Amino acid sequence: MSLHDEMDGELTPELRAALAALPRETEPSRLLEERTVRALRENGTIQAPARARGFRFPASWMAGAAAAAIAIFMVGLNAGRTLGARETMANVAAVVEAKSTKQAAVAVQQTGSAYVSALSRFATLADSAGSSPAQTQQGREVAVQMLRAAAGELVRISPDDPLASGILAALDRAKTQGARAPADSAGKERTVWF
Amino acid sequence: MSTALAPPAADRALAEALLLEGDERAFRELYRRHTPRLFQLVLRVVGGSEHDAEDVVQETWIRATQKLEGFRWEASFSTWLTGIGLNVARGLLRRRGRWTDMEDVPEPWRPPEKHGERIDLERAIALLPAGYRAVLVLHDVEGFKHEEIGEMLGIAPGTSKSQLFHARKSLRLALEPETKEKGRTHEPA
Repeated sequence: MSLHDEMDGELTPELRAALAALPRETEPSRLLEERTVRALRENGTIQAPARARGFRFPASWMAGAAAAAIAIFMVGLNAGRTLGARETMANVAAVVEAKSTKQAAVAVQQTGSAYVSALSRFATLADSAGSSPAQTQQGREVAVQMLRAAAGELVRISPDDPLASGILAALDRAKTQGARAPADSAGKERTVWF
Repeated sequence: MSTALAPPAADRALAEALLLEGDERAFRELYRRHTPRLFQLVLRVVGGSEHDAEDVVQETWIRATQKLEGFRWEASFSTWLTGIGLNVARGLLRRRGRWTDMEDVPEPWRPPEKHGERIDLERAIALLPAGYRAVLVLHDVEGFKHEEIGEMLGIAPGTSKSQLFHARKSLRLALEPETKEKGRTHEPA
């Protein structure tokens, strides 16, 4: 009898079966993948894939985004009426009135859905024949600014969240590049649109 | 596990895309293909701490991508990655004083206080000394041969066999209902 056989004898059939039944795979947290990818990007091993679809946001768009976002808040109520978005305004009220994290989470879900729906509608209209390039550009700027604001809040909630911090860093980089770009005279008008 | 590529690209093709182009998608595919198994193995080897296991897995991938160019593809990618993961895990355990160099002597070990209750198998494995645990997990759970374990842990196959013998004995002690052996320090076989 070999040494290995003798050692096999140390395992009862029940224990052998129990060991064989142990899981061989476990999914770690999804954040681990993002954390690892981020580390590999930082050390230059991998490069983010090119954005193949969806909106493309040239850096120059970012220059007027902050002003556009402020304008949104200033005349948000008016814009809401104009668009007939009473439901959205009710959701905004719910955010202000939320007294628990659960209520606030529900409000986040509702307003987030409204944001995505509005963006979807905007994309449809932007693709239509009668759309104005300036207005399309302006809408994109606002969409990015909202995304940045949301990512900023997510980072506040979880400073170690690689997804939120990654989005924020990417948008900040784009903003910095945009600030270096020559001033766009149309940029000042963008705030008037809202 | 991802099925984004159909038919699935070979590990080698993905590794080459990563190496030559820094292709993030190729990396993610490799990661998703091999991490669940790596994570489970590392989780057991480090004694059940998910936090530690995640740190080890991340460091394993970083080291693997650094060493990828030198990988000869004589073993499977999975086995190679496991070897790196074990080294990283061993380093972490050593820094915490929980890993002693394996020699052909049993590690001092005392069966856990059970207070009459039985402990489950995962818990019993986690309670073993780190060296025993690594060999037992690699041989009896993952199915590696002693020669492979010896290579991965940098020990002789005979040492792996001996460690396994003591590991199994300790595991049985940990799982047995309380007996007169309770509290006895494990003795060499």
